[in-house]
Amino acid sequence: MSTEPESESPELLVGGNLADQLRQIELFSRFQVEGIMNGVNRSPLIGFSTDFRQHRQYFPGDNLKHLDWRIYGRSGRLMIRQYEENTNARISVVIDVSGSMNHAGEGMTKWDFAMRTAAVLLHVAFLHRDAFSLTGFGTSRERHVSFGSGKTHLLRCFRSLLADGAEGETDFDSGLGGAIGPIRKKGLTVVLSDFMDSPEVIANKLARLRFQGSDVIALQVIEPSERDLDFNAITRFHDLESADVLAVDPQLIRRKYREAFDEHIIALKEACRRHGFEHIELMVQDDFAVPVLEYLRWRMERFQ
Amino acid sequence: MTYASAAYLSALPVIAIPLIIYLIFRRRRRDIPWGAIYILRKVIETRSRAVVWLQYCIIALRTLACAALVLLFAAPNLPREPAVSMPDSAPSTHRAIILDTSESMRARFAGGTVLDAALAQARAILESTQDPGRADLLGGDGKSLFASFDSLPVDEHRLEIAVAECSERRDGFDLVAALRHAETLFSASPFTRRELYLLSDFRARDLAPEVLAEAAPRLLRLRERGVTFHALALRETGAANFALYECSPLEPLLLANQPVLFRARIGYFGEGPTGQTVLTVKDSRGSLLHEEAVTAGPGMNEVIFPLSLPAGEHRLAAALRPDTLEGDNALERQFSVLPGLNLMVVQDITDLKGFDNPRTWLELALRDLAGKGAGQKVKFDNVQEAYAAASQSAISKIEQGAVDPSAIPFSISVEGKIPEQINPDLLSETHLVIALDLDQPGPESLDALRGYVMRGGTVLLAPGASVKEEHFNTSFGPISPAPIATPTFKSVEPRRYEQCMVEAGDAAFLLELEDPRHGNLGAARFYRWFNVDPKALASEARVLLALSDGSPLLLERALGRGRVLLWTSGLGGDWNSMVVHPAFPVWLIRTLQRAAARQRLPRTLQPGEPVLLVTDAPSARVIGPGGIDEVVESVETGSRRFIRYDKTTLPGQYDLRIDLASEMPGELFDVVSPHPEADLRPATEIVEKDFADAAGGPIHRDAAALAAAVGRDTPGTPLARWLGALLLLALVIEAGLSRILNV
Repeated sequence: MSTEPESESPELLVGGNLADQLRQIELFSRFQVEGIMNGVNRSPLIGFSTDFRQHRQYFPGDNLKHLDWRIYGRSGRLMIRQYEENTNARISVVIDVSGSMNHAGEGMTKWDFAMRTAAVLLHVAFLHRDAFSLTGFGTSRERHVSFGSGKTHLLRCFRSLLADGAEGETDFDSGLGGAIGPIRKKGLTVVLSDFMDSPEVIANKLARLRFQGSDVIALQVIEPSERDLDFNAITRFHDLESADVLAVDPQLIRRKYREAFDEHIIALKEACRRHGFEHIELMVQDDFAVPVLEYLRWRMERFQ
Repeated sequence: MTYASAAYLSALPVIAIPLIIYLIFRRRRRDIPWGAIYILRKVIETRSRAVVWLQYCIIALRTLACAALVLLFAAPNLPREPAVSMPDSAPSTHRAIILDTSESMRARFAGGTVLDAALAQARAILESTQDPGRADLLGGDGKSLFASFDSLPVDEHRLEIAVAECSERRDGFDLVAALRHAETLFSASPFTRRELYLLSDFRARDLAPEVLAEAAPRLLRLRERGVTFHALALRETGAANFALYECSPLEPLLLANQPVLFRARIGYFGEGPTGQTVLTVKDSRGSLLHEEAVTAGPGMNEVIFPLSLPAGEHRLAAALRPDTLEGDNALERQFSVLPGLNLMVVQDITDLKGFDNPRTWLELALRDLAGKGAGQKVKFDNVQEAYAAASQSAISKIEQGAVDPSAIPFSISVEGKIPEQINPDLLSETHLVIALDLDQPGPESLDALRGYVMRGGTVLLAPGASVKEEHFNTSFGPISPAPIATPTFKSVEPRRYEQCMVEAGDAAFLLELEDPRHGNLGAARFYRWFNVDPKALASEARVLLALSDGSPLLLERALGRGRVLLWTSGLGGDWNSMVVHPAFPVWLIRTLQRAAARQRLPRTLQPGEPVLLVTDAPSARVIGPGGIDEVVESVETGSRRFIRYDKTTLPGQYDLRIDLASEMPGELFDVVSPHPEADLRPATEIVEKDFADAAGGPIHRDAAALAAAVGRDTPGTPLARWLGALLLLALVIEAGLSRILNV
């Protein structure tokens, strides 16, 4: 069943039992991130924390307290001890706000599902004191909430999610490009969309983040009826993003449509794999938290 | 293209079902907002046109499959090449041939009889019937099954026997019964294809409206049961036929050498306005008695000719010149010619002499006739001439000294008796009894008279001046047509008289006598008569002659098989001038003749009329047409015994032989034939069209047309296998295409 985001209080997006379950979840980048605070994420910067990482030659001006006197005593060489630095992550949640996200099956719309998933991700980032931002995209960057942390920032993000529904056209080239363009530092970027565009275009856009060193998770929201095309009579399909109408006998193209849908997902998955970021399919269902939590738990076990 | 089960073609509209389903689903559109329009558009761009065509192909294949399925049930066959001769039958064909073997099929033309042509055609049909199948040769009477061939091709020997039997048969033609017979045969037939052939001359009487009305539903029913009907009319144009229906005297009784007019009823059935033939009448020895050229118009014609026959039994053979149909051209009839008539005058002993005695007038009138020995012709104006001719003939023979017994004219014997002498034996040889001035006969005499009348005799009561009416009424009341009352006047006044006129319109001979050109009966004057109350007539009595004041003059009463006549004005010359009127002897002898005829049993009968023969023999052997040969016991009625045979429905000659072992002909009786076959007029085009509408096909004129029609209707190569393969192929392709479309 679809819900009315406007009627919900931001606090209620993630609350109760779900909030408790999220305390045990960690959202981290598989790669080094550039944070400003201590956290669970490995920083690309080498610091002087507790985890030894390597030695390096002493250069004048280095703080002498980091000299390894044992090596000097054994070999007479001046070597500086370096330790790994854990820092907080910069988590960017990029969500597709185009009209196609309004597609609904028998339950909630893809937008409702994606919005709540985004809320979960933001809440997890909040719990781990990560810096997080929220950016929507259609044909351009929309509803941007810049990096921040804390409860207030979280609520600001929630309000942004609840402020408007999904509408308008989508353009992954300009929209997604605009949404991820300002992300300069290494971090974790989660893109929530139905990715109804050329997989190569989408992957190429996201590849820039990966090139910068960021970890990227592409969460593709799929409504099951959208994949099945289970209609018997001739049907007029109204495009949710434009006024286009396609009159089609679903019986005649069902098989080919399913093949094309699967091929699209496979192509997207392959493109993501090729560029080194994750692609996850999330099937829309009423209990939206189940697939999200499953994925996050799996990811935590897999990469931590 | 022919179909074994064309009825299934009515299911052909089912081929529209795929299209209808497609259109119904096409109309039931729905609107859905769709998110994955990107995928949908991509699929449509690459697949849409091909998919639509594939869909059309699937609909076409489904339509084709439906059509193939319907046609598979209808079992079509390829048309055959036009056939010149009778084509071979298709497998599993049951052929039945109704062969008209009626008399009209004996019509002869240049190439033989019509039946010969029909048999040749039947032979061709039978020989072309192939195994597996069956062929039956049925009679047109609806009863006969001449031959049935279960093993095919037909055995030549059996076929020859069947054809020979058919050529000898002379059954009637009953279209309705024949169709019923065929229907019964086909109802038990296990074969898939049934063909019915009707070989007849199709005359107008064969397709009469009442026949057609009854036959049409049967033909329709046969067609509904899948029977293919073929009719062949075997006849030639310009056929003309004469038929001799009857040859009989106009008078009910033949007297020796009395010229009597005979009437021959001749039918002419031809396309021309008139036809000519020759009528000949011969006696049993072959002597030509009469020959006459006849010009006849369409329908029935009558030829009147005089014949004079000697006393005795005669079997006359009348014939017309041979024509198209010979079977109806001749007939034979048996006639008994009496040598004379016996008149008994019963009168009390009287002392009246000369013309005072009424008997004198009677004897004078009848003696004159008998003495001149002439006999008479039917018309009164010919009487004198006939008498003169006969007299001259008799005189000539006598002068020549050679009196031929056959030339002896008939005689009338007048025998006088007193009432006490009357007894049944005496009366048995009497043709007419005249009770002259009799009013108190004894009871035995009265009983004898009554018995005589009951057995067919005729009594003429002629009370005169000496009769007491109360005595008369008392004595003759039981048999008299009416009681008589006191005479009108006490004396005869010459200027006070009445004239008579015929009261009974059906008394033809009295009407003739009344005609001024003939007897002028009305000229006789009646001065006195016994009054008779017309309201007091006995049952079954009527007035034949009445006087101009309305008083009955001559009355008749039917009693038993006989008649009692009452003449109220006396037969003498006292009360009227009738006895000196020229019509008197004619009236007297006509009355005598009719009385004698009533006592004779008829020898020429209508179908169904019983054969009656008076005989003392206990039984008689009856030999008749159609193989009738049986012994009939006699029955006793009163004092006489009769042979009665009722089964006379078949026309022809019935021979009653008292001597059961005798091989010689006995008493011959003839049952007339209506000669239905004689009417060779063909059915009209309108009637034939009605028949064709009911039969589902025209009546063919010749064998070639029949062969062509049978060729058209006989299925050629069956298409069932091809249709089955087509159906299978269509289903396979449809399944394949549907799988491609994942439908």
